[in-house]
Amino acid sequence: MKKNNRGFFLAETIVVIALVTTVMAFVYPNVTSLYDNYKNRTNYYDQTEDLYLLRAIYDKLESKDKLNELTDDGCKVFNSGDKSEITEYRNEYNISKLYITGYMTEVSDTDYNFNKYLKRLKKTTYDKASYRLIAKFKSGKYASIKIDNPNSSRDCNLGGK
Amino acid sequence: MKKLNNKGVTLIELIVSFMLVSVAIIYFFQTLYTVKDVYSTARRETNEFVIKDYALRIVDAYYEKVENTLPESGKTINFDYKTSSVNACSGNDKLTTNWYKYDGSNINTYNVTICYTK
Repeated sequence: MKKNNRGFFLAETIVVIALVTTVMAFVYPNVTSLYDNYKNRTNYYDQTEDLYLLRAIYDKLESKDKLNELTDDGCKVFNSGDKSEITEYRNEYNISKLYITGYMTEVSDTDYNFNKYLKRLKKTTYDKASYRLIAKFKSGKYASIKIDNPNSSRDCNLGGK
Repeated sequence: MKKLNNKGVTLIELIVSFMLVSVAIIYFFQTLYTVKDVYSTARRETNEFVIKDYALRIVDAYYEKVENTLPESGKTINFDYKTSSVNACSGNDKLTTNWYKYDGSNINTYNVTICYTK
């Protein structure tokens, strides 16, 4: 059989290199965004100690009747984009923003990173009769807890149900 | 046999191909570095998260159900991960975190030192 001794043309080599470059150029940003998500999840989102702090703040809000004041005795329904800002306790615990909103409510913020966190809030169950306490800490961390404690002394259970 | 192409490669063609290869290599190594970084930190970070979460659950339940009173705010609480004991410490490695608890009038802050062995 006749042997082909021509080898590769330069043009063929460049095409292959260009293809490999294109593939890498697509793979790299995807891997980077996965890495950013991983870093955010492990270091900045819903850290255990922050969840305990939010729980303590919720207990205090509840015992001081502040939760009822903010949510019209648990009857307030938060529509898309609605949130009530809580101004108490923020300076004591290095919190820059503290909100209460509906568990299923889609909320946004002008801060890019906070908005990113708000967009990925987990809604593990379809629960309209619950609220959510969300905090942005001065250290750049974010946390939120679900509030679903029915209280017989309230006019409504949470979320107006 | 077919006649060989003895034209060679021009300098421009050579430079272009080197540039393309360099770009591909940069992306490739950055991707490799990212994957290696995730691989080396994921296990440690997951372990630390699990240990912290477990310790704070036990500390919370201990003061709520066993002690029934909270220590003075600002106090350091030791937790031994191996024996799941509060106010004990036997491991060589330490992990620190904060724990917050509402006592009926104020939110108390505690430093929790978790002792464990890697």
